[in-house]
Amino acid sequence: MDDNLKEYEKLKAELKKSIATKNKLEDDFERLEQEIYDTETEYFSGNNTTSNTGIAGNRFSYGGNIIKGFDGFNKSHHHSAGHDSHNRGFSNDDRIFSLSSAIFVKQQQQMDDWEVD
Amino acid sequence: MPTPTNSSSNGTKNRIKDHSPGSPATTPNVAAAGSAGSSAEIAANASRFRHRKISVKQRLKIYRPNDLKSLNQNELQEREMMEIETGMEKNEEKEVHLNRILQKGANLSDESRKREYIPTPKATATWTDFDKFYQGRFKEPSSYIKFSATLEECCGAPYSMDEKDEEFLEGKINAGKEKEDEKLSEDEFEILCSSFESAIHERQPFLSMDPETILSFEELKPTLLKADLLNQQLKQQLGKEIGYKEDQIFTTQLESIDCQSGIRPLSQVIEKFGVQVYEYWKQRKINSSNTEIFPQLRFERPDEKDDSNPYVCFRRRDVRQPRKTRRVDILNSQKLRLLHQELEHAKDMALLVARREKVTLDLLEQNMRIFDQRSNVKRLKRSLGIRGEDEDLVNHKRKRLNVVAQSQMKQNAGAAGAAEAAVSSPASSSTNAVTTSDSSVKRGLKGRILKKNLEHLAKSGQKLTKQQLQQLQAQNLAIASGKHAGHMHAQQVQQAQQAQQALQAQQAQQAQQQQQQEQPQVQQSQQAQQGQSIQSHVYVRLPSSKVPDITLDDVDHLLTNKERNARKFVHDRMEKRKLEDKDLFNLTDDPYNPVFDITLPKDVLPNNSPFSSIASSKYEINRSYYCGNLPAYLNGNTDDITAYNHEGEKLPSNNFKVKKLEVYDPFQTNNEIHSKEYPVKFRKRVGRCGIQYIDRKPNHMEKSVDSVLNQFLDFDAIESQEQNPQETINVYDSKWDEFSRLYDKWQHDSPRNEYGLKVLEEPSRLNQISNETQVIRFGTMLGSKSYEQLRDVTIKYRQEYVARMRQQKLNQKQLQLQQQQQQQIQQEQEQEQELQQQEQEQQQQSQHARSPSLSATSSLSQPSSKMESSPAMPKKVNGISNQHHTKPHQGVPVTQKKSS
Repeated sequence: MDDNLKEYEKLKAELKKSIATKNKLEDDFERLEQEIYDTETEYFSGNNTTSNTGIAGNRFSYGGNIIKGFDGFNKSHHHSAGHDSHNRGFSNDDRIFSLSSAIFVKQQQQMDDWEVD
Repeated sequence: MPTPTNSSSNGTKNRIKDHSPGSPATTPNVAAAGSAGSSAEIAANASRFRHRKISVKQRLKIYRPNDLKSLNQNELQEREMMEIETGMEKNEEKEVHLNRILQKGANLSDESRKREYIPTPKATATWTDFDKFYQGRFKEPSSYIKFSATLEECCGAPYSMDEKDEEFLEGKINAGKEKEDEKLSEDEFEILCSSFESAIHERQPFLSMDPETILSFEELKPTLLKADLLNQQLKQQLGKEIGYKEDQIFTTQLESIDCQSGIRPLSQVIEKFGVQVYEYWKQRKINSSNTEIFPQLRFERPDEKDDSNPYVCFRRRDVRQPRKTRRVDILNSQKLRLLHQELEHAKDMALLVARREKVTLDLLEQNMRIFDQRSNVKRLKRSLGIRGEDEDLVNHKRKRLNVVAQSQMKQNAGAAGAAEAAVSSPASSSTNAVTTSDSSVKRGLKGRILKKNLEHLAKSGQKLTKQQLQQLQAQNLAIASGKHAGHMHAQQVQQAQQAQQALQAQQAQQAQQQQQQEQPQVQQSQQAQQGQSIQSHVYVRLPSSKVPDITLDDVDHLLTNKERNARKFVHDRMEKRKLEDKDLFNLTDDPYNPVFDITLPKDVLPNNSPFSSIASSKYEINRSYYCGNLPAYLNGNTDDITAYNHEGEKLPSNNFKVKKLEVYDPFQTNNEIHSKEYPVKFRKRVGRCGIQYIDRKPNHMEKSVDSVLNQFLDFDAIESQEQNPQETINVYDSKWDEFSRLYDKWQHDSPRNEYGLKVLEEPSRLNQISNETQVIRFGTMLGSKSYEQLRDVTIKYRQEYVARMRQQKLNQKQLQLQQQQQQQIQQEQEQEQELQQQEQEQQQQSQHARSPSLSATSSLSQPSSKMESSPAMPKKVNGISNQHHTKPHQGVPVTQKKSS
């Protein structure tokens, strides 16, 4: 009986530990999802200001990102004004990285349901 | 166009391109020369022959069938020879076999031609074992096949085992080994050998010169380990980045599963089998011809061509480098960098996803473990009969933060900060509003959660009551003001709610939790009210990245700073000037207390004289003082002061009356000042029709006035009338009334108006145009007028001068004539002439008197007529008149010779 109790306590402690690990993992997961989402937003809106290419003005003058492809990347665009809006706009469907998570998709659906209500 | 029929064109059709002599490419010149025919010429032409495009400008000779017979057969063949398209580069045409064929040329018969060929490896043979080795495991996918790897990247290690290798592998290395771990697989063997190859190529590029000098295994080992064959290291790095442990095995989709399965990392293989295999491989390498175990493709760099090789045409074609400008280079490199960045970004995201998936996997495993543990615990618990302690045994619902909502909230926080700056709430001053926005941004960094909560409250567009507002203010000063007016556009209700819930989960430790919990109630009630709040888009929502990341100053701070700076500036200036004026006495600081003994000019009143500038020099300064230490003097500590009279001469210091500094105090009415006051006072009065009058009266009523007045008034009568007021007198006789009328008149009536002009002389307003405009108009008129006059005068003067010069010339001629005549003609005639001359003189004078008026009226367009008129003057002028005219203008420097 005593042994059983000891083992019970031991198992309980292990369980607690596991749950703690699990919680940590879940935190990690959420953090990562958030990070992915933010990075995506930054990337698609073309705001990654890390460009130190020396042609800051040219930042948007080429077409394309990894979703839209780089058609015409090699062409020089002088009419960047009209191109910009077309270039920067992105929909949630473009978020392939975020959308690769089932949980994210579910969240999106919930959001949509909320909005319908 | 008919081609010349000969045998040569048939057999070589596939390799030799036919060119008929009259083909469009032939220039008429060449064709003509060719038809003409000497062989030397033909040879020369043939070498010069080249393709030309057909153009409308060039004539083409057309050969008819009967012409062809007369064409030189040799010439045609010669031309064909040169026209052969080998499809090779120029130096490659020297290739032995090809050259042989070319040289033999068309003279060969069909049979002999067949024998000549360029030897090429046979590639047509059917390999019967193909199906054995290449089993089709390929399944056609539903999507497009995406593939960017090269052939070399796909077929694994570049080294291919042959029979000898197999023998060695099975016979030497794997012999007697039972376990799979101990054995060296074929793939691993190939990888190993490839790594040897590449390492040796790197270390000893010229090994073929002396194969015996090949490095030992130990020498080569560092290079081997460094080499990254099959991207093993890349994979390791990837695993590290994703979070795999060193020995964990994973595959990527990029590598085909079957060829990579079960391959140990290169470093392990080298450790285990390196020495053995290397010795074997080294021997093979040394023994093989040209130190290459397998034949290699010929590579050639464009600048080091080896034309001595007879098999020159069997090599990789080198791509000719296109000419590039530097600008294009820069552009392209920039584009490449951009592309690199894009890919980096994508890679980052992909890595994040990979890490997330890894976490997901771990999570699943952990869940599984927990499940097992729970079932164990439950089993034990039941057997022990323990109750309670259930909290670990059920899955607690975890409140998940919505990713989208969270980042939107983040954006909103930024947008709110920006929007707040634009909003100036009616309740608070604009300064306050800006200040709050500043501090809210600052706070946003620290207590973002709290702030967001409040923002969402405010944003849902409700009007808070005063009390609630105060609560909020107490809680967060930054948010409260500027918001309650409901300026902010209404957020979607559920979004705010979501955020609220999410945030509350995190708010547990917040100090103001109590108040926080009151808010949802407030919010919900308000949400009910504001069910259909209209969305407005007055404010631009900035993405969070656009909000400048600077700590914003509040306006109060700025203003106080500015004020302080301004004060400091003035203060410094004053100090500086005080230093400069150390021994001087500056009046501009103290205009109210001129220490001068001044005489006022006649038109300055003492009432306003202190305000008029001393610098206007209306004052006559009788005395001036210099005081070395003014404050001390004013305090009475010292009487060291020097006085100067109005001519700047120093007054004797023993003159004590003068030595006293006179200080004028304008606010002390009875103060006696040492100045000559204006004897009258003025009064402004508005009379009929709004006309303003200035009345004047004496400043001091002096006694002597009466005596003067006695001349005009009968004061005795007035006095008697004053004493007997009951007496009835005719008004017109009353001296008292007369006196008072006169006194009034004298006192107040003046024919002058405010600004000194007599009323009658006041200029009327012309055409309702103000005086200033009039002045300008008149001024400009005067200007243009005077310019016109000046111009007229100048023109007149010039014309006069020209006329005079002409006349002078005429006069001189005439004088000569006259002198000649005078010698001949007698004295009487002389006298008559004198009379005539006098008459002429008169005439001329009169004409000159007329000419100014003429020229004044004549415009510029008429100078020619005037010019003409001057020589038309009376011709007989004598010397007197001549002198008379030239004399006043002798000062004018004109070169007479030139004009004549």
